[in-house]
Amino acid sequence: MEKIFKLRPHEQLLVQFVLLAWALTILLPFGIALMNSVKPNLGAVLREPFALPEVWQFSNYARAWDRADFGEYFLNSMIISLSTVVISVLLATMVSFVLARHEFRGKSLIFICFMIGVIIPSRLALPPMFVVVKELGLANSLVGVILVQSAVMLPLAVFILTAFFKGVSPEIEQAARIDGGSPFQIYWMVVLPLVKPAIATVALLAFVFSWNEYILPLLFLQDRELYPLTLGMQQFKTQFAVQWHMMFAGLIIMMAPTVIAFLLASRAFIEGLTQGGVKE
Amino acid sequence: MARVELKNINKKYGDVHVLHDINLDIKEGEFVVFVGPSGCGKSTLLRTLAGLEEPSTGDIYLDNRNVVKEAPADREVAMVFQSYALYPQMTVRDNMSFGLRIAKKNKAEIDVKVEMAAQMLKLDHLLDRKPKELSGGQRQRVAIGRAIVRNPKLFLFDEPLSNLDAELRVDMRVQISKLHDELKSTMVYVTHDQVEAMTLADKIVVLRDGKVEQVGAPMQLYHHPVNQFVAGFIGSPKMNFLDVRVMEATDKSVTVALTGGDQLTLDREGNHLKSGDDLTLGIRPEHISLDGSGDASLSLTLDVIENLGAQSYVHCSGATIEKCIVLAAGEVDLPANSSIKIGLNAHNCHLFDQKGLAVKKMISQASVVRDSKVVAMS
Ligand SMILES: Nc1ncnc2c1ncn2[C@@H]1O[C@H](COP(=O)(O)OP(=O)(O)OP(=O)(O)O)[C@@H](O)[C@H]1O
Ligand SMILES: [Mg+2]
Repeated sequence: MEKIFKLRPHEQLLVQFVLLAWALTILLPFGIALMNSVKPNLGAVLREPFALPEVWQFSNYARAWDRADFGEYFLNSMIISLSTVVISVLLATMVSFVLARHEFRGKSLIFICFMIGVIIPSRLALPPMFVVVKELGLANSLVGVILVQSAVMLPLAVFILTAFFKGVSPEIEQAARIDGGSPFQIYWMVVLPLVKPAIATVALLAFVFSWNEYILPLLFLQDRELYPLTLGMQQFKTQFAVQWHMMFAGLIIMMAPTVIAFLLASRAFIEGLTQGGVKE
Repeated sequence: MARVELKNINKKYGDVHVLHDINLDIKEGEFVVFVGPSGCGKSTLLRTLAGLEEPSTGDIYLDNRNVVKEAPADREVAMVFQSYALYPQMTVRDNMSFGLRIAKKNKAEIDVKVEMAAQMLKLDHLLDRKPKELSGGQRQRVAIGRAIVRNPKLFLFDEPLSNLDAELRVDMRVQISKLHDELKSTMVYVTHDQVEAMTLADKIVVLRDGKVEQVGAPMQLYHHPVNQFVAGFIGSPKMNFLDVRVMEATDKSVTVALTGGDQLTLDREGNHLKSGDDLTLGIRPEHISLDGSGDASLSLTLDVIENLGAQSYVHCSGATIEKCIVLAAGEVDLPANSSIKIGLNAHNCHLFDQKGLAVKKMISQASVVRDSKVVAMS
């Protein structure tokens, strides 16, 4: 990668110090969670929360998985998150393609509506959303949660993707039109492959958002067998005390998919953030 | 192959009137070149033909079928863009076959067509590469190949060579010319390169501000421009323009005085002119002599000489002419700021009135007048 500007040695030192401090701040809680997740019992956690465990009890993970019906919650989380990713990416790419490329009456209004969606926190829209979902008979169902989360994700996805679609040379699309491509074929075969980095970015954001979402499932799901991991974690609050060591093990299990997703998508993700368009 | 007719094409973007009443007739198999200054509407006109833009009013006939409402694909046209516009994620083969695949042609047929086009354009060994692994010239050939495989009735080119370096451009120009000979298709080509226009075209269309200024064969435009704009636009270096005054005008001839005093008589219809009118005399750099020989002469100061070996551009100026370029054969070796005398012949001169329109030639008597050598009185 080319350097945009050069730093003097002492400036470089400062920058690296700040970055390092930042990384530490982020990694510290993660490390503590990791450490405490292998402690044998709650006592060990409470006594010395910041000390290394004396005994490394990795079986905590297996126990957390078994005892708390983790498998079921994990599956629910996967269903919700993957569906949200697919639905929001599919809809957002279609919407953005049209918003970026086609002139029609009312286009700015639609775009502005999406932008309002980016600006206004979705929490403010909870009551009307709740009513809509209930009226549709989708309350207490995975479909309901999936649709709500997709809708919440959509504005940001459209915002990111529209910028990318605008970066694709219109002549490529026109060439495809002359070649006889229908609008859908042009979208699917020509333009979509060109915004892969943006799609990776949006998919990742959607996955992480819906995987970690707590409020929406809490509001829309009543049955325990529909719970995603975020709600399932409550299992570790027993009536006497929070089972911190189990809670931490559960948290680490819960984090694994998002970490893996980041690692898988990181290259495209960074490209997506820095490139802001498509070359050629 | 197709015959193309444009009838009263107008194009407006909001309040901006980009094309004005364009009427054009393109014969089957003809190679037509649109030229004009930047922003004059060449691309817009081409894109209107392609169906990428819809004209505000007017009709387009392809083989007598009005296609003005039809989608680009239904018009059976192919277009080569200035930016190549290849599909970056596809291989050369997939780029070229995209249109056929979409049209659900069978696989064997597609392969044959792609191979043929690839051979014609010497792309055979590059078929499995992606566009970004190709040079500019190769990309341009792929873009042309993509047009060929669809076997279109009409080829459209929008400045296809302007992103290539000079040498490659000459090369591709010859290739396109060959291609036209082989395919015998109707082609419309946009450029602002003089040489491309003159060498490729059967017919040149000169556009200015969205209006057709003149349509004609390259040599017709070169020898008989209908106005000062076309005269200045066709030919390189540009035609020189001198202010002259009418001394005498009849229905057969016009005598004008150069600022230096010399007079020149041209075989023009001068019945609408009168003595004392201001006109503009046009003379091409290649028609001026440096030794003052000719029907009239003019004293100028030499500014700069650009020696190109085979020929030289001599830039001069005078009291009444800011810039005059003379094209001389071979090398010229004269000191800067020296005073020189240039000579012009009446039969090479063009005459334009104040509106810039060419003063009409006496067609029937043109040769007679030329043979009798109307000599300037000096
Ligand atoms: N979408 C548009 N909206 C408004 N005006 C436009 C639009 N497209 C083109 N124009 C205007 O139309 C005129 C003609 O543009 P066009 O691209 O056809 O010029 P051109 O002759 O191809 O120029 P060049 O040689 O620079 O390519 C220009 O003045 C341009 O500003
Ligand atoms: Mg153009």
